[in-house]
Amino acid sequence: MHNTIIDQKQMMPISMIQTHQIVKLVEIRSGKDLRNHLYSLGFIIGEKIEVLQNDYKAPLLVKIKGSKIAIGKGAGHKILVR
Amino acid sequence: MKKKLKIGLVGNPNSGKSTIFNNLTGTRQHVGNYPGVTVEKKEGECVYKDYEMNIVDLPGIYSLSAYSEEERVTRDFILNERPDVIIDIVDSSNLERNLYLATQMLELGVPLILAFNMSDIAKKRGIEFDLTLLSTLIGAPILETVGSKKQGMNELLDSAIALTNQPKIESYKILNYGKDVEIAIKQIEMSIKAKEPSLLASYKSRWLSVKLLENDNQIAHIINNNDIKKLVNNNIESIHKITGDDPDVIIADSRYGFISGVCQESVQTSVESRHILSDKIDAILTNRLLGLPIFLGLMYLTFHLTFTLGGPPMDFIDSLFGTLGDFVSGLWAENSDSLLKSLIVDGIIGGVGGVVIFLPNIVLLFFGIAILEDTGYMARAAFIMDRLMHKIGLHGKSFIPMLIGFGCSIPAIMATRTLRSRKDRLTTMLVAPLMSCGAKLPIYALIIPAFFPEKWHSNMLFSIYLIGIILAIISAKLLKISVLKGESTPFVMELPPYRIPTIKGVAIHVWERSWLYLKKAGTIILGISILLWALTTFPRNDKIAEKYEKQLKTIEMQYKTKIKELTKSSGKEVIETIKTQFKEDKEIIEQALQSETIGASYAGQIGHLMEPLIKPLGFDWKIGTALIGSFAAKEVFVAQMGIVFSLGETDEESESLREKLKKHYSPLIGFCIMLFSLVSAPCMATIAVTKRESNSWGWAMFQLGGLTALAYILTLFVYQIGTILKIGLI
Repeated sequence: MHNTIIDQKQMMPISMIQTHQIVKLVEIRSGKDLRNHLYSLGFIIGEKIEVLQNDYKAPLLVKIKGSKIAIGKGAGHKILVR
Repeated sequence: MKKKLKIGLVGNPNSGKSTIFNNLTGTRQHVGNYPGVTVEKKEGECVYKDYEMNIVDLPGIYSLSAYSEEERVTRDFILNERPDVIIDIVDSSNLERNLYLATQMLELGVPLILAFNMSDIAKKRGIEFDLTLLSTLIGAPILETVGSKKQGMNELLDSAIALTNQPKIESYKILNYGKDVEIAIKQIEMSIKAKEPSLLASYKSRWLSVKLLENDNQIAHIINNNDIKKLVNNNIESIHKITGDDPDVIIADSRYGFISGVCQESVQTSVESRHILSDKIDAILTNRLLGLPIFLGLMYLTFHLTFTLGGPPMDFIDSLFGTLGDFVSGLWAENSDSLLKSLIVDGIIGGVGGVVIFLPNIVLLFFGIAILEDTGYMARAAFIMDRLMHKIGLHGKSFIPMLIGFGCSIPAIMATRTLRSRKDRLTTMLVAPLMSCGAKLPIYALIIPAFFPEKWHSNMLFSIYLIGIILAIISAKLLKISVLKGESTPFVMELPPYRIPTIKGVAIHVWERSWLYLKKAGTIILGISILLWALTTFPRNDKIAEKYEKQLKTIEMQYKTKIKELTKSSGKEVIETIKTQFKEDKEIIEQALQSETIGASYAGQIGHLMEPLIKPLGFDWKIGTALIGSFAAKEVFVAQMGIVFSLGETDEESESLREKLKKHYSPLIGFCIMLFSLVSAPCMATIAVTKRESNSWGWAMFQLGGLTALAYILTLFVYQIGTILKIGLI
C-alpha cells in the first residue's frame, strides 16, 4: 500500500527550528495551563510561525499573528510544528 | 444628584489601556510597555454629563482563563462587582489576537464596548475596517480611539451611557463551538439548572458549562455536585474520543475561527508591512552576542548620566539650604545654644535638606528607567537575561520585578504577581531588595564623592549596582536549590513593538517618583529627623561642657603665659607656631566636647551599646545610629549623618558633610557603608509588603534576617580583608 499524500516535512518541536524558517503549528503537548496561555497569544493549530531567533541555550523569538513572542526552551520543546 | 456608573477597562498588555485610563480620569499613573504593568487594581473618577463614573483599570491580560493572577483578578472583578459597562481596549493594528479576549467577554455576557485603539497606526499600516459590519457581527458597539492623541474619549463615554440606558439584553451573541461541544454544553447546562440552581444568580449557565469543559480550575472548584462533575468528565472524554482533541482546543479554535470569519468580512489589509523597524532594532538589541553588552551599556549610561548631569543642580540645592541655614542661624545671637535654633538648623535643615539635595539624582534615574520602560526595551532586557536567569532556576520574567527594584522595592515585590509559580514568586520577592532602590542612591551619592576621585564616580556607582545584581542572582540560586526548590515554569512573554515614549508619559512617571520622594522627605524623613535630632540632643549634660570649658581655660592660660615668656626671648616665628598649635589644641578639645556630648545622648548611648557589634565592620556608633534610622527609610542614613556632624558645631565656617566624613572615616569604611546599606535590612515598608504579598510573616522575617546577616558577613569580610591588605585606609 502506498500513501498518495506523503508528508514532506517531519513534525518536530519548534525549539529545533532554525532562525528565519517559517513553520506551521501542529500540536501543543503541554499541560492545560500553558496550552491555554499559548492559545490566547495566537498559538492555534495550523497557524504560521516565523522563527526570528533561535540561539543555543537562549529563549526562542518567534512571530505569530503579528506579535513577537519569546518562548523559553522548555516551552519550546512542547510546541510541535511542521 | 449625579447618576453613578461603574466602568471596567480591560485589554491586552500594551493595547494602550493605561493611556486611555489616564485620559479619562486624569489620575496620574504609570504607563509602561512590558506585560503586566498594571498589576494592581487602579481606580479613578470621571465626571461626565450627568454621570459620576468610577473607572477601574484592570490588569492587562490576553485571556479570561485562570492562567495568571491578573486573569483571575479581572474575571473576579467582572463577575463579583458587576460593572455597568466593560470597555475592551483593542490594539487595532493587531486585531485577531486582541479580539480573542473580546470573544471571551462576549461569552461572559457583560455589557461590552470595544475601543479600537491606535487606529491611526492601523490606518498607516493599511488596515481598514467596516466598523458597522464589525459591530453587527461581533454584537457590541465599536469605536475608534487614539489614546495618545486623546481622540474618541468623549465618544467612548457617550457610548457607555447609551449602553446602560438600553434595556438589558439577555440573549447575547453566541459563539458556536461545533456540534460535539455544543451537545455537551446543552447537557451540562441542564444539569446545572437542575442540581446547582443557586449558581445561576451570579453565573450564566452556558458560560459555566464552557468553562467546565475547558477544565478551568477555578470554576471546577465552585461546583460541588458530583453528578455535574461526572457529566463534565464523561463529555470531555467522549469529545476527545470523537475528535481527537480536548474540548479546550476545540473551543479556542472556534473562537479564533469566529474572529477570522468576522475579520475576513469586514477588515481589509492593503499593505503587508508589520513592525519592520522593530524587527531591525531587535536584530541588534536582542542579538545573542550583542544583547548583554548593550544591556549593560545602557544601564551604565543611565547611572553615568544620573551622576554627571545631577552635579550642578545638586550644588545649587546645596547652596540654597546652606543660605537658608545661615539665615535661620542669623536670627539668634552668635554662639547661642537655643534648642529651637538647633532643632531647625541641625535637625530639620540638616536632616531633610540632606535628603532633598539628591532630588536631581532621583529625577535623572527615573527619567532613564521611564525611557527604557516606555520604549519597550525592558521586555527585551528580560529576554536577554533569561539565559542567565535560567541558570539560577528562574526565568527572564523574574527579571522585570528586579528591574523595577532599581526604582523601589515595593512595586517590585508587587510586580512578582506576574509570576505563576509561587516558589519563583517568593524567590524573586526575597532577593528584590538587593536591587539597589532609589532611596539608597542618596547614600552612594553622599559617600562616593566624599572618598573617591572624580574619575571613579560613575564606575563606583555602577559597581555597587552590579554587586547588588550579582548578589541577587547568587541568593536566588541558593534559595532555588534549598528552601524553594521546584520546577521552573515555562517562559512565554510578548515583546511589544518599540514605541517612541511620549513626553507626557515619561514626565508623569518622573514627576510621580520625584513627588513621592519629596513627600517622603517632608513627612517620614522630617519626622524621623526630628526624632533622631532629639535622640542626639537629649539628655543635655552641662557637666561635660563645664569640664571641657575648664580644660579650655587651663590651656588658654598655659599658652598665654608661654607666649608672654617667649616674647622676651624669641622671635616672631616661634610665637606664630605656638599660636597655631594653640588653635589646633583648641579644635581637638572642641571636637572631643562635641563627640562626648553626642555620645552621652540617647542616640549615643544606643550607638555605644551596638558599637562592639559593628566595630568589626569599621563602623562607629555614629554610623550605627544612622543605620538604625535607615530601617525606617533608607534616606534617613544621610539625614542622620547630617545631624550628627552638624550638632554642636562651634566654628562658623562649616565644612560640607562630605568633607567631615572624609576627615572621620577611611575610603574603606565609606565603601563598607555603601555595601552594608545595599544589602542590609530593607526598609520597614518593604518588609510589610513582603508580608502582604507572601501572606506570611515567616517569609518577611526571613527576608529581614537573611539580608541583614548577609550584609554583616559581607561587610565584615571586606573590612577585615581590606584592613589586612591595607586597601583604602587613607
